Amino acid sequence: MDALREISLAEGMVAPSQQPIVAFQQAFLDNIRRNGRLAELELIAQFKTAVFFRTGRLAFLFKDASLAPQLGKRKKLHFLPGKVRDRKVVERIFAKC
Amino acid sequence: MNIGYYPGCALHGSSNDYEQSLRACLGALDVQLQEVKDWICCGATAAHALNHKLSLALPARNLALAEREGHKQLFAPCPLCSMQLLKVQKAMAGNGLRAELSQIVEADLRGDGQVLNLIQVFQTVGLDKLKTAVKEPLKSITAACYYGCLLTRPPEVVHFDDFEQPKSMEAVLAALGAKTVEWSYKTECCGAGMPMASEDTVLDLAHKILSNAAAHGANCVVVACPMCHVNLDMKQAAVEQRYNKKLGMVIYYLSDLVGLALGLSAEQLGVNRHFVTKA
Amino acid sequence: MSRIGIFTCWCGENIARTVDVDDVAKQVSSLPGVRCSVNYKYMCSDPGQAMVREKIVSEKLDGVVVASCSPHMHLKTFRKAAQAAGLNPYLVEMANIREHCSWVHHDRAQATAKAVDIIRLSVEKVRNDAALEPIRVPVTRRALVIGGGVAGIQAALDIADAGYEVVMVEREPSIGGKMAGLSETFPTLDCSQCILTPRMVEVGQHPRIKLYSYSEVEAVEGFVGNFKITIRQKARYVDTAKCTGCGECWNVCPLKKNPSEFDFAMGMRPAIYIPFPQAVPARPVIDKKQCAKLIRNGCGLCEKKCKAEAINFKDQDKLVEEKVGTVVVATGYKLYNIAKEQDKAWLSGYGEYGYGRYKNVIDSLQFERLVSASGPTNGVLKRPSDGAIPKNVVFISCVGSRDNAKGLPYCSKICCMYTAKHAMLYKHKVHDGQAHVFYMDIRAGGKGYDEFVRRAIEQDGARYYRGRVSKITEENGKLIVRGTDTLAGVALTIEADLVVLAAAMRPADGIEELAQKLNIGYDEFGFLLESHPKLRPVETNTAGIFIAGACHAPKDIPESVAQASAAASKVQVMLAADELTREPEIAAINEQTCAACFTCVNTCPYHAIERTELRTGKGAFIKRTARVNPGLCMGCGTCVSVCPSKSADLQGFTEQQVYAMVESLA
Repeated sequence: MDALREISLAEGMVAPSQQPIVAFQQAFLDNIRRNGRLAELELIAQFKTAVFFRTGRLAFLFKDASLAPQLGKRKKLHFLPGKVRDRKVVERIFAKC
Repeated sequence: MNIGYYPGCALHGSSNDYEQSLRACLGALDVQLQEVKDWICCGATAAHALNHKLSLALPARNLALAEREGHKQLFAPCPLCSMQLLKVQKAMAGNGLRAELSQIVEADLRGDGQVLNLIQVFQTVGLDKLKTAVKEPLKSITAACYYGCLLTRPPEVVHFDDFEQPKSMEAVLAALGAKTVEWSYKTECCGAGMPMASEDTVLDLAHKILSNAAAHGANCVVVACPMCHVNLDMKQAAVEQRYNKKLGMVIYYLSDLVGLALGLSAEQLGVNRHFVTKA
Repeated sequence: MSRIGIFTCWCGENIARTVDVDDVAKQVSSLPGVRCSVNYKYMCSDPGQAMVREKIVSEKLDGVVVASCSPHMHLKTFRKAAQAAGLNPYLVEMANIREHCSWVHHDRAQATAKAVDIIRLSVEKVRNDAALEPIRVPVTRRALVIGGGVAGIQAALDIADAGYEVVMVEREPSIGGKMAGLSETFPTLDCSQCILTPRMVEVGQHPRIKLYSYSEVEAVEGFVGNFKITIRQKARYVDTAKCTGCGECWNVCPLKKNPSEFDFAMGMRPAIYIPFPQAVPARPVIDKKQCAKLIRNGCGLCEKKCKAEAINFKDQDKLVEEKVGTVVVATGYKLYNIAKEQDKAWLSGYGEYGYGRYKNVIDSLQFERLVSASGPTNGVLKRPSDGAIPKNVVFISCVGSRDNAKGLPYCSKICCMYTAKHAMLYKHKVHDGQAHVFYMDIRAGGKGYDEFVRRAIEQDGARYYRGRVSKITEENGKLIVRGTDTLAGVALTIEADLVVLAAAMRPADGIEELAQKLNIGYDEFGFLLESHPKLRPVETNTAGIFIAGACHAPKDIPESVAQASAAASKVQVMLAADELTREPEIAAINEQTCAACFTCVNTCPYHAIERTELRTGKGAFIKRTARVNPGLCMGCGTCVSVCPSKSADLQGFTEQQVYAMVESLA
């Protein structure tokens, strides 16, 4: 199964319905490359914008927005997540892979 | 007891209630968690999906950092993290990959540490010891133990419990005086990291899991994974709305129940920070 | 002076393409002692053999070298030709210039030179050959058949009807094997017991068949024609001579709730029991693990009730010896254990099917008992959990078979057919029921088999889905079966009342210990090894021991019966005369020089060498010595290589011959 997925990505043959998932994974990797660890709010923002630009679905941008205050109430929102000190290592690891 | 601790992104992100629960509960059991300094993301599903080498390198860096700090045991409360760490250890066994990864992650890699999930930490403490430490047996708990995908699979990587009918979590709950149910969705997937990218899938899966737990007489679900918790707890309202039914299932972290049985309060454990707090 | 004839073969193009046969024949004609050298296109053909015979006579040859293919192919052929011309057949050698030369080299010049060298070696060998005589071994003209299933029964009847005595050993209380428990057999849907029980009775009553039931083979000694078998008759606690089979004892036994082995735990039996009403012998047996009298000296009701005074609680196992000339192994099969517990570390079960967890997930033999007219539910298909009649039954093929991940990569051959049969029997009994079959392929290669499967689908409405089942769970008394239909491209979920798993066929328990006692080979799955998969399917590599039935490989009843008759015919060939002849190319020990260190005794893999003493005619002791048993020795040469005093040597391949051959190349 892994092989099929790698081939479809390499050949650019991802089904339209699965595009958001690939976009999500790419945003995720982008995020940890920059931050060393996942910065959630940044990921959400980047992902939602990316999907909006690809599909034009405005509703998608604002979906789950009601969750934000709920998360904030439960002290689960982190605007400034703990960063990795040696972030350059992560950049170099990404570069080598 | 001192063990290395690799929290992973979720526990320092929106699943920090899991970390609160762990620290309180394990602290009460005199298990000191030594967080690995400067740990990085393990790559999660994204690396596995898009870049095979990266999916080995990122967890490898964390193994090397833990080794550098002298940790013989490394506790990873998120099963995706723990599975990735074990995957790297297995991939490196007996070939030149270890040298290659050491070079990529810029740290010496031995790969000989013991990686533990939450259930294994309690097993290391000892279920008998746990039983004697119980102050308030959980008589009102009838739990459906939910393992999800990654605690027991891939079996050739994690070598933990029976991957069709696991029983390790039930054993911990038995030591706490709680009842458990036999149900049909113990190891079915919850949708993992997909709630944003593919919400429909997650709601469908969560609906099946929660409904089956209820149908088999459970009054709560116990998990040992932050993603399972999000999909069953945070998303429960959305499931109820879409499928038009009341579920009201409290989703406990295993450490929540252990902590409660040891006499800790819900506030100390962060149970009040869940989305679904009372049935 | 030697008069050796060399016959070089072209083998069509096989040899001649790479080796210059004409040149070879010319070169070897000048070897010392060679009287004539000819070549021919096909030495093994009639004219070729005639050439050999003619030259033996006309040139008065005392040694023949045929330079052609491997001796495995035609050594016998040329030996026969030589014998027909009056030359001792052991003065014939084959120089293999095909498999050892033309088939493995490309360079013509080098191959030709090598062929000449190979022939040179054979010339040296044949020059030193002795005119050996075949060994004659006396034969006990009786046969042993191990296993009383349909294969064992067929073999025993064939051999006994031919006039020989047969000893049959069966470890269950009754013969009949698995076939006695089946409901109906494909493709005729004959009632299984109806066609088998007459044969069982014939065995039980046959004047030349001695049946040891509830017995096992304890030890095997000897060799072909001369086996000594020790049989353990397990204690029945019932005197079969006095017992009349009236049934009072098992009716009165208070311990009725023991899972019946014959019913594969679908039904119960008492502690004193007969496995099924048509058992042969129709005599009960007491299970010593359950009987209250035997465990704690209680009860004893059966003894009180028995008018024939046949109950004997003091019974013991007995060891009996039987002498036979040949053995047929027909020990049958068991089903793979679908639950997780396995008897081998490299096997694993299917936890996802819930076998052992859910009462209504059963295997195929259990299903047979449920639909059998003489079964625990009298042929009414009641599901185990609540006795309800199932309206939706799912049949899953290939459970354990064809699965490298679980450890059994082979196909069990009969499951496609019996699954179709099960679907049909189910429909015949439950007219408004629906059968669902999950399959990978349909293997229905026998006579009338494919038509049979089509009948199940077209006439009895069985639904066939090509795909596997991923998981079975239970909700509200229904089994939720999740699988796929790959031809339709959909995942499908079926709510079943009963699930029947077609488990893989494996050889019966204890096959490896038995094979080791008999010194026959078996593969990693325990299936007994035949001599040659195509041409010798019922012989083993141990002379005198034959195999038949499912102990060899998964097979159905017609094949088991055919194989049993084949084994019986091989037995009859062997028992046809009072003596057997064996090839004389075996070891011999010079008893004058033997130092009696007995290293050879300990090294011989066939236990063919014995320690013995040389005595004078009056019985005075001279010396100890080792001696080769000509009936057992297989001529491997191990003793020759270990003997420190050079007393052991191989007839037909002596050390002198070896040195002569090596020196000829120098």
